Amino acid sequence: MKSLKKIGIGLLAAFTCMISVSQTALASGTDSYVTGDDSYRQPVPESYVVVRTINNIGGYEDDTQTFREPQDLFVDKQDNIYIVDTLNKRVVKMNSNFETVGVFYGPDKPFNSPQGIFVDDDGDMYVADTNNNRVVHMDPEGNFVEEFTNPESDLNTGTSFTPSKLIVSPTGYIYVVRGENIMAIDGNGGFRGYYGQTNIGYDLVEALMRIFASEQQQKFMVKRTASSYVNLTLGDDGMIYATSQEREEGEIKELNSIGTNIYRKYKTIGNSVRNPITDFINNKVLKSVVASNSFKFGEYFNDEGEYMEPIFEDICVDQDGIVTVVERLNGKVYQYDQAGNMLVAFGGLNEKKGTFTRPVAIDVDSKGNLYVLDRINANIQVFEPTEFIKLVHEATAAYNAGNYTDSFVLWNQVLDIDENYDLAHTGIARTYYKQEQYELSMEESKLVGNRDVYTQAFDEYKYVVLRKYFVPIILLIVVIIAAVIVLVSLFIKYAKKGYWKFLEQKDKKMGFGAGIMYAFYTLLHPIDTLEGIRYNRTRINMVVPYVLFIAAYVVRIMYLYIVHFPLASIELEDVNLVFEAAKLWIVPITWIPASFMATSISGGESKFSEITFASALSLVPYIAINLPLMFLSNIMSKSQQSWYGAFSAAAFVWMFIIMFLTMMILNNYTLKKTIGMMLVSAFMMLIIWLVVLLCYILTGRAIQFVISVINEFQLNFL
Amino acid sequence: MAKKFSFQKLGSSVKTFLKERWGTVVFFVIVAAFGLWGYFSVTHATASAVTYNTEYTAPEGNTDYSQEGTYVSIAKTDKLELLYNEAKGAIQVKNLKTGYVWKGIADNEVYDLSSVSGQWNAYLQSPIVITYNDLSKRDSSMVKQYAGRDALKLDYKLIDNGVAVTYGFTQPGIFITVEYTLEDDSLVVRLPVENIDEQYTFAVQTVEMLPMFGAAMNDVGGYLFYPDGSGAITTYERAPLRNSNVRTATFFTYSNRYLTFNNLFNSDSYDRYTASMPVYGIKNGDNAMFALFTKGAENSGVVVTPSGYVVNLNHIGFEIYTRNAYTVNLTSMSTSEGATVGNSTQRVDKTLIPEDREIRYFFLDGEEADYGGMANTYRNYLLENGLLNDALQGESDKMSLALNLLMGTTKEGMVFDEYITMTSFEQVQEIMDTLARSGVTSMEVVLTAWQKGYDQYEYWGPARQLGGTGGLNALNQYAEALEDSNIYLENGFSFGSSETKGINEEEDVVYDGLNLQVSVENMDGTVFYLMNPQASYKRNEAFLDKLDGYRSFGVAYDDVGRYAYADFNETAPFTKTQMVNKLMELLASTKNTGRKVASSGSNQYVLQSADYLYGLREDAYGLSITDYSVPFLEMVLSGLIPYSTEGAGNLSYDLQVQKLKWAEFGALPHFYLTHESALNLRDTGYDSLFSSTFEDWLGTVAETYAEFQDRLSVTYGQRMIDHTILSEDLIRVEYENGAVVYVNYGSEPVQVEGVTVPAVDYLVVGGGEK
Repeated sequence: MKSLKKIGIGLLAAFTCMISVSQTALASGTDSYVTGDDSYRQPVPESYVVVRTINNIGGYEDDTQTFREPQDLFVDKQDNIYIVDTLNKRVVKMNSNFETVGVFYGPDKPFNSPQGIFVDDDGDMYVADTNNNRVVHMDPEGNFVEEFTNPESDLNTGTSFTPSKLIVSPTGYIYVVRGENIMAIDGNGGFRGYYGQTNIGYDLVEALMRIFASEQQQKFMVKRTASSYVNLTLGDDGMIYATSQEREEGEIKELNSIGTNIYRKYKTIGNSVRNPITDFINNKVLKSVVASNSFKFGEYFNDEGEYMEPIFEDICVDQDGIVTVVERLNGKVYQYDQAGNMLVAFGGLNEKKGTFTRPVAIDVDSKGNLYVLDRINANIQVFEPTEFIKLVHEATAAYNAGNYTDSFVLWNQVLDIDENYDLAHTGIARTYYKQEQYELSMEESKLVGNRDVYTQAFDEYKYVVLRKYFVPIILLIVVIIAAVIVLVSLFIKYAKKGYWKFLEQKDKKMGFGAGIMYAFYTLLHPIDTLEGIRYNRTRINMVVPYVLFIAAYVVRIMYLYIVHFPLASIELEDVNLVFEAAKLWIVPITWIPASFMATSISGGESKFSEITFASALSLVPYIAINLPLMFLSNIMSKSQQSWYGAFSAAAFVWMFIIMFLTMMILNNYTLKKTIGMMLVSAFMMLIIWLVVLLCYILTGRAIQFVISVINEFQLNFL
Repeated sequence: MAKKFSFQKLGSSVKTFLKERWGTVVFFVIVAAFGLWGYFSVTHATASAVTYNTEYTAPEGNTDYSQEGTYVSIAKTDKLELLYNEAKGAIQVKNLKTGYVWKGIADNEVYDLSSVSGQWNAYLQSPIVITYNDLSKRDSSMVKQYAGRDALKLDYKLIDNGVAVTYGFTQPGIFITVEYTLEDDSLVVRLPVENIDEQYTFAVQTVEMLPMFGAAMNDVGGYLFYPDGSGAITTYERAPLRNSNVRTATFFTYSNRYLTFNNLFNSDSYDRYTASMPVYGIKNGDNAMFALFTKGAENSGVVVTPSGYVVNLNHIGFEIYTRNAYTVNLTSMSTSEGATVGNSTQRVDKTLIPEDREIRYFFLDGEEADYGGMANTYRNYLLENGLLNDALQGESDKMSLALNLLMGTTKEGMVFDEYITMTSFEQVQEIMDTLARSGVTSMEVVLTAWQKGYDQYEYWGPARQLGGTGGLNALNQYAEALEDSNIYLENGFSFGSSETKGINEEEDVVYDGLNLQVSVENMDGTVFYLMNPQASYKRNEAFLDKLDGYRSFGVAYDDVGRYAYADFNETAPFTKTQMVNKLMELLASTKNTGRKVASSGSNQYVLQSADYLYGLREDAYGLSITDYSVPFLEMVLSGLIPYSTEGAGNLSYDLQVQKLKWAEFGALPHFYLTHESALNLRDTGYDSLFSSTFEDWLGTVAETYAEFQDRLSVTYGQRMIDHTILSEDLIRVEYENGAVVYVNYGSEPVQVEGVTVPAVDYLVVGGGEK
């Protein structure tokens, strides 16, 4: 089937409604896929198939056969299945052959909308009897053992105790999800503290507000709280795996005994000062762009391409530590390996087999079958792993056990089924790395764009090459240095020539070639260069600045092609030429009118043309630094990122300095006045942006309005 | 003294007025423009609107439904007897061989009618059900009327071998005359368009025909069969195991009834709503009924309602669409969340679709009373009426390998899009030669995306990177020398885009009922269209001309057999039926050039011309009401047209399971390959081809082919006459020569009928002589 070009996710998504056409895939009937560090979905072979759907409990002592809005499911070590049938106020126990072997309505008093269950290794059931405000402990026959009500503690105040999701640790502590915490209760019903609260970090704005707010105002300031937990499960390794709505560190957490998250994290939240400006940009303006370009658990776009923030309803972990979660908003099941790499995603909201209406609980049995409970459909679908995903599981397990040779073989078997499975290539690259076959490792990791593995291998490879060809490399470096010295001195010569030619030939206009050379003199003597413009403003060549603008753009594009792969901030195929141009030019282009406006109303002397010329000069350092840097980056890797970053930053600092000097020299301002005028110009720039944005949105809306009026008119009267 | 009138003065005062009040002037000009536009639009609308001058007075009713009435014999053949009940306007058909009576409506023997009241009580007792709109009101809602309650005027007339019954829905003034006759041992139900009589502004939208015919409760034992995917059944026995939340399902013949781009293009919604055959069936105990829409099927659908949906009665029937319907989006506005809130409504055409309808009901018993018997009946009907091509001509050629080759694709680049060569024309030869050396001597090869502008829906222009026309020519010569293999060039004519060369974006595209183009716009501004049948036909002719120099290629159509729709284009409108006829003409025209025709869609109308079918569905959609998928379509085709299914061996999670599916469905082993590495397809439109490198798959392909050749060739070219689901994991398939294939999907070996079927394997028994 022919395909519509893939619909990318651009900045415009924030303003315009996206039309999404899913592709007709004739080639494969699979609905399974993986996403890497971006939101792109790569199809993979079908990984789980539905082998059974449990719609009712069968004939059992005249009990109601069907479920009513069941909300939790548990599979114990013997593969017995427990279903919390919330509106029927009961717990149903089925054996591994799906025969009902017990229905429990509450041991001492009837359950009141129970919402969660945990079963320990002895078959003892702990039911969250939610509206009875207790956790009740029953023996395997359903007899009352004990109950746990709200534990008393100074720290446990406020809302009433409505337990829903819980686990019981082997030490006998009960862990219950309670808002932003997991509350621990000991075997005697005593309060044992809160567990696993995420660090909420330090907020500069809030801190400032607290300093300046009056006592009265402080009372009304909302206390910042950490995000809520959603669900939790107990791993075979004794760790607590939990899902939360915490978006900064990661929604899926593996908590160790002291409540620290040791699973894959987006970033570590410390007490560092956060930058409110970038925060604002990241959180508000670029939300969707950021979400699509960095690793996240789940997905931030649903099948229609609309932005969403995932809520992981339930989580389960198998013996090997493979984590599977089920998401509420798009109904997908996501599976991750021990290190947080996505293995597969499947399911979704639909009406066919293997999809859901409102999935609320998931669990895994000893054979790796997944059970997904659907609250609205009131059924359980049993998913059996296919050979493909079983191989993947074995391979990750072997790698985690340090069994690299085995995992290598297994990953190759995975590739026999799916040549494009990212993690298999990464796994093989890692094994090559361990086997010191760095070149092969680089090749494999580059195939799937894994920068981390590539960097490791590349760094080692560099040393190998250096050891092997030490003398030739040294010679080469000497030659290069010599060449650079010659080039730089030539450059200085020509730049000087251009400068003096312009200053001395007072009757002639600036020539184009000389103008370019003059511009590069900025690198040597910025102040002289700018003064030269100021005193000869009538003679400058106005083609030069535009050529500089274009040159900087060309450098940017070259840079994107040439920069070393692990250092690239953006995948080549994701590059948008217009967006790149906008990023590069937006500051100088708005700076020119902004500073002209600002200075012309406060005694500035500069003319529009010379501001344009001088602003273009600020791009010279960008060109001068990035041109060699892009070549140099090819012997750098991600571990030298800070060096590399320093150079890039230097270009921008340099640009800023030139702009500052422009303002000062062209207008003959004092230092203080310059700073003031810089701020005014910056403010002007912001206003220009806002106005442009506003016009864009308003015209868009206006056009939309007119079109819809016309449409409506046609529909109603024609 | 009166002021002297001066033009000059007037001029200057007008000038000052304009100068000072230009805003007001502009405002009034705009208002006037709007007013004029509104006036003309309204007059235009009034002129083109249908107006009714007569006041309608409903006639008196003559029917008393409280009377039970009796069934009297109307017509009789050797095998069937048709009975009619004057009081109810209902029919019954008696199978004289078994004595089983198929009831047109539910009575107290079928279901305890006193247990349901209101409209469902009426529904159960209705031979037909209609829905209508009031055309004199805009966007009036749809009203449903049940013949068993609302047809207050009942009339009948005896005709040859049957009866014509007029159901008079007096309140809306709609009179529908249905003709029931016995012909050739089947019940034929006809609804000619002139038999729909609308006396007032109420317009019939749909007619449900005999919705309760053969309705049965679960204890009868049996199933409903419907054309979901390859075919699906809902058994009566498994009703207690199903979800308590039972839903009904409708499948539209050939393509979705509602014409939107997405309904057709999105594979999920396509699969959900499309029936490629206008058929359904009921098995009640030892008797079965098979219904086939034989005329005007294009505007129909099958409505499946298993027990548990309001009443505990399994029933299924055809729904006839007498008018085109379309969805109208009234307003779309953005909310603060950026979501679009759509307000949509259904509209119908003013005029009836001018087509006669004919449905045939066949009655089966004994051995034939199952979906196997239905498939045999259907196959015979199609053969007798020249609607099914006997491509194999009874001689069973060597079983072929079904091979799809992806030739090339484009990947979006930063500045230029990059063309990715996956298989060049020369490499096609290389692949076929290599396979031949490995023992694969017979192949059906479909080449996909060989055109330069494939992504822009160009039908011609062999890509330069693949070898250009020179390469294609060389391949043509190579193909000439092939004995048992065919090479097909894949093409499609249903879609176009604003980037397609040579299409007229005004005239060649499909319009919906509001005279708006059926299209969708991509993020980069490309607009995608549905092509109207006239344009499709023209483009196919042009393609055949271009192909004239390449005699040995067949043509594979990837969409002609999938999409059929109506075009409301004002200059040359097409009904869905006309479109189907045009598509049949298109295929016949290709066939007339002496070429082989392949199709990936299997809508009934392609079966007449197709020599090879690929990409057939190998299961049903998977609704919660469906118990099993059955290879109904494949049973009809088996022994006549070779076919392969959509599952490709290289894309399966487990090749062994895929092989079992092929063995069960009688399909050719199928692989979808490329010469270059599949890694090149990342980030392209073909990323779902995640594993396709020929070099890696060569061994597997050859082995699989050898295995099928060795074990299943006895079934090839034979008609599949029976298919039985023995248990969840065990299937038995029988061919006309007596060969039986047992397929065991389970992980344990199974003993059945004296043989042991190994785990996850199949076993072929008998069928030595052909």
